[in-house]
Order: sequence, then structure tokens, then C-alpha cells
Amino acid sequence: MSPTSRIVERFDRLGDRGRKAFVPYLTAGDPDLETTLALARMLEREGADILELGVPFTDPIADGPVNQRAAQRALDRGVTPGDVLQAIAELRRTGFELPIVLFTYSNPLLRLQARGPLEGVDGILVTDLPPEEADDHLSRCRAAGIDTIFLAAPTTPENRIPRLAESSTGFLYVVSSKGVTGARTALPQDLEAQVSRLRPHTSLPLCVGFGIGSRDSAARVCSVADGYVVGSALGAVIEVAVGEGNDPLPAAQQFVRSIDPR
Amino acid sequence: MTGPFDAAGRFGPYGGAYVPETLVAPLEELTRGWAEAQADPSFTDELRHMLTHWAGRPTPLSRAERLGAALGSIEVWLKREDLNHTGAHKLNNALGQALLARRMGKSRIIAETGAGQHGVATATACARLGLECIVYMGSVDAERQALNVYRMRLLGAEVRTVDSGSKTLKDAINEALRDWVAHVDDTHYLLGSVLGPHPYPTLVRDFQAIIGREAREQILSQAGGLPDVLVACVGGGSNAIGLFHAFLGDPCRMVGVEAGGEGVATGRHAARFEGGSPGVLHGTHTYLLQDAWGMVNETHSVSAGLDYPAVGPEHAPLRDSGRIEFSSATDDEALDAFHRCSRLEGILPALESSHALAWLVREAGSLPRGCRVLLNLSGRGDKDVRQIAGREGVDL
Repeated sequence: MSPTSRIVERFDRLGDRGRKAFVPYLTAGDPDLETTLALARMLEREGADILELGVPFTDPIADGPVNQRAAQRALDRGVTPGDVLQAIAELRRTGFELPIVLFTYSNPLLRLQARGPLEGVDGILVTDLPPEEADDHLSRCRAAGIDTIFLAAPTTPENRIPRLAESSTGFLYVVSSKGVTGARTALPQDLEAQVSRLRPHTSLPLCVGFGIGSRDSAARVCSVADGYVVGSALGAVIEVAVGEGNDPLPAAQQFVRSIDPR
Repeated sequence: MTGPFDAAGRFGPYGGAYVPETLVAPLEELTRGWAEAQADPSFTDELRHMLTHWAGRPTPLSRAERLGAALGSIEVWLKREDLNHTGAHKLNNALGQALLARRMGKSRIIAETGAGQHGVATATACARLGLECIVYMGSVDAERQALNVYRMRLLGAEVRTVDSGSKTLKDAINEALRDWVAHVDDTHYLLGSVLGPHPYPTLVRDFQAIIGREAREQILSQAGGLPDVLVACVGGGSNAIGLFHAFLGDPCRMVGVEAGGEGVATGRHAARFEGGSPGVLHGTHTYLLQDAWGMVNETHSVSAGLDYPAVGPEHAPLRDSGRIEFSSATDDEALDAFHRCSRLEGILPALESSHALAWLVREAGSLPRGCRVLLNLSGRGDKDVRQIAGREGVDL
């Protein structure tokens, strides 16, 4: 692979300091792209390490209600995957330095990739693309120096883990529990066991997501994994603020400060 | 690299299993479960017994003499899936999968439904086998098909309406997939057509292929030869592939008829081959109606059962190679065919099946005299009576 990726560099730096990664997720274009840019910059200032940017899709089967509604609001505004790429270019032009991971479904990604290089994107996570279907995706991303992040689920049998690990670069995403994205009242009891069963198969950093909505759950994840992802819980804060006609920035900032246990 | 899906579940470049990681293991389990069940005579015997003594198979093959004469001396044969229990071919698959689920130790069944026929068939099979049944249905469809919603409830199923997206079949499938991701341990997703990730397109086709096996035997014996032309409507495409599969090696012309809605040129239709392009939806790579960015378009058809933006992946290479021709019929053509069949044959056809009839009505003039046509009458139209009355200004 070409020079060390932004994601790898970030984890190297965190590792040197013994620090865990905070990986927030934003649905791009909710409520509009300007706000997404402002939220991204705020997250960088507040100490986020990687930004996951969701590409709005009409049929998000892996997402819970919060992310579905966010995607729908963005689509209602006419936000396209192309607009998301332009927003990323704008972030890069204005000095945004966090690694950016596109969180997307297969179908819009096929269209995006057909149109040319994904400038400014450091990694891609495709929710509905297991490695068995990912040959083309992998060769495209390898050639472009983009990390490919796959997900390991609680249902993943032991004998599949090596393939997920080999296909992943940057980090491996650990799905905390069965189900769609969205905050849970509690993380599963076997979270620690789930993370530790992956360790022997990979030296990649392990980031846990799905269902982390409180400081306690973030702290529990940080005690066992290398990073934690916060998506729907942040999305819900943004949704409430927007619903009340407010700028979501202050509320989102306050939420991020309250949840980050590091 | 070898994985369970490598080379499996592919129809040329189409098909596959584009699913969240959480579903990979359950789909493998289903693939194995089906392979084991097929090899187990106690399973196949029970399925055959129930299809015969409970569902009413084999369904008859009826010569449609008056319709054939009205269309200019062609020979029309109707495969009467409308006489299958619950009034459509849907039960063949619902019963098969419900038996399979029970065999695999799954006690909870979830399903999606558009028109409600698959939901009713699933609720029926679950009632018979004592399985918990939850059916997801878009709220727009639930309103259009209130009768079927109540039928499902009478059969003991829970109907959950879906208010996201376009509130129709595609959103019901989204919601069923989300449910399944959260409840994979005890739940079987009983998918209703030859759609979705591997193994569903193959599994559902295997359960529906009984249509063609029966029809081939019946037409050889009743008509004394193979048909010249086979016709079926294509939503997901399970009744079509169910009929066609047994004839793929025969020199028969095959025609699949999609929903032309208000006309393909208007954009309000569900003609995926005519108006769509390859992409990935609901776990499979196939033709679908989408915009330039891969966003899935809403569809339109008078027939809720054909109102879906993707077509079963097995149809795609058969279309590319020309083995199956695809055409479409508009809402108006389907309604006209509905009336003709009702009055000439004493059969109220489902609006879905009326699309196949509409193709025949339109194209009969180009068929040679005496041409033998076998058409899949995939369901009965009782469910559509209220809607048709409404369109014609009759308040029931």
C-alpha cells in the first residue's frame, strides 16, 4: 500500500500515548451540508480521532430509526453522494485533518466509484458488503490507498474472523450487539469476550460501535477495545435540536463532552 | 479464498449476498438447512403431503376456450394457481419455508408483504404449524389492502405497519431485515419472492418450481404437446420462474410481463428491465429502478404485488441472453384483461396475473394461428374487487 494512511497514522499516534480513539458518526447532509461541515469541525476541536460520514441512502437496512430519519432528511434536501464528496473536499480545503471514513451502502458506492477517485476519503465501511462480495471493492481501494473497514458481528463464526481481518485495513469495526444502529440501554454482557476473541486473529485496532449512547458504555468499551463509535446517540441530539428550530452545534458539542470518557 | 458465498448464489454476474455481517451466519445456516431438508425424505414427504391434502395441489390446467377464440383461434391454457389454498401461488413457498423453519428450530417467523397475499399465505402456514408470525407491511399498502390485513389477524398473525420511506413493499422488506438482524437466533425470515440475498432466490424458486413441473406434465397429457409460448407476470418473479423453470430446456418462447403502470415513458411504473439498470438492493445484485446516484426509485402499479423496484436476480441473465423476453403491460391494459378473463372464462384473475393476460390480449394478433400458450394465472382477483370498483366509480 502507498504511504501510511491517515487512519494508521492516527492509531500509531494514539498508541504511543496509550489513548483510545473517539470515532463520531454524522449523517452527511442532516439537516444540511453546511451544518455537517460545522459539526465535523466542532468534533475535530473536541478531540475526535476519526470522522465517520454516512452517505444518505433510500434503503438503509442496517440502520435504526434515528439514522434512517437523518438520511431521509438529507435526501429530502436533495443531498447526493456526489455532494457528500464535495463537502469532504471543502473540509480538506479548509484544513480539516481527521481521517474520514465513508459509511455507506453498496448501491450508492457503486455509483460513486464509477465516477472517479474518492478524494479526501481515507477509509470506506460498507454496511452491506461482506468480504465474499468485495473483490472489486478491495482492489479499487487498494489501488487508491483507501482503507477498507469490515465489521465483525456477534454472530460471526470463529472461522470467518480471519477473512474479515485480512480484508480490513485501518481498523476492524466490532458490532457490539445484534441489531441495527442505535443506542441501547445497555451493552451486551459478553462485550469483553467478543473483543478478546478477535484479538488473536489481527493486529488491527478494534473499534466498537452500535449502541454506545452514554459515558458509561463508552468507558466500558475503552477498557477493552481501541476505540468507540458514537452514531445514533449524537444523531438524536442533532435531531432534537433541529426539531426545535435550533442550531444543533451547541447541543452536539455539549453531548460530545459529556460522553467522552477519556 | 473460499467462502460460503463464493460462486454460490450467483446467476451469472447477478445475485449474491450483499448483507450486513450479522446476517451472514444465519444465511449460511439457512443454506445448509435447506440442503439437509432436501435430502431428508421425511421433510419432502411432509411437504408433498401438505401440498396435496391441505393446500389442494396439483392445481388444474384449464383450457380457456372462449378467451382463445376471442383472441383469434389461439390455444390458451391457464395454470390455475388461483385455486391454490389462500388464492395464489404464494402458499407454495410460504408452506415450504415454514416447514423448513420449524425443522431448523425457529419458532418465530417474520415476513414482508405488499398486496398482502404473501402475508396471508405466511400467516396461514404459521397457523397450521403453530409458529409465531409477524408480518411487516407498508402503511400505504395496509390501507389499500385492509381486507388482507384483517385476514392475517384472523389467522393469528401480528401485522406491523411501516411508516418509513415510501411506506410500501420495499420499506416492509427493510423493516423485516432490521427485525431479523436483531432476532436471528429464534427467527426465520420468510421472504416471499425470488429476491433478497442467497439462498432466497434459489430457495423460493425451488418451492415454486412445482408450478412448472405440474404444468409441463399436464399440458403434455391434456394438449398432447409442449406449449409454444409461456407467459407470466413478473414482480419479484417467483410465479414466473416457478412456471418457466421446468421448461428452460424446451423449445418454448418465454415472456415475463412487468408492470407498466401509467406507461414506462411517464416514469410511473415498475418495469425494471425496460426502465432500470443493475444495482444492489435488499441483498442482491439485479436490475432495479434507481437514479444516477443509486437511490432507489418509488414505483407505481395498479397491482400492489408488482409494485417493487427490483426483479429477482435469476431473471436478469435469462433476460440478457434472450432466453426470457420481458415486456410490460400498463394499468389500463391489465384492467381490460381482467374484465375479459372474468367475462369469458368465469375467473376473476388477480391484477398481477391480469398483466400476463394483458400481454396476451395485446400480442395475440402476432401469434400464429393455433399457437399454444400456457399462462400462469398466479392468483385470484377477489382481493382486488374493492379497488377495481373504486376505480370504476362504484362504491361498495
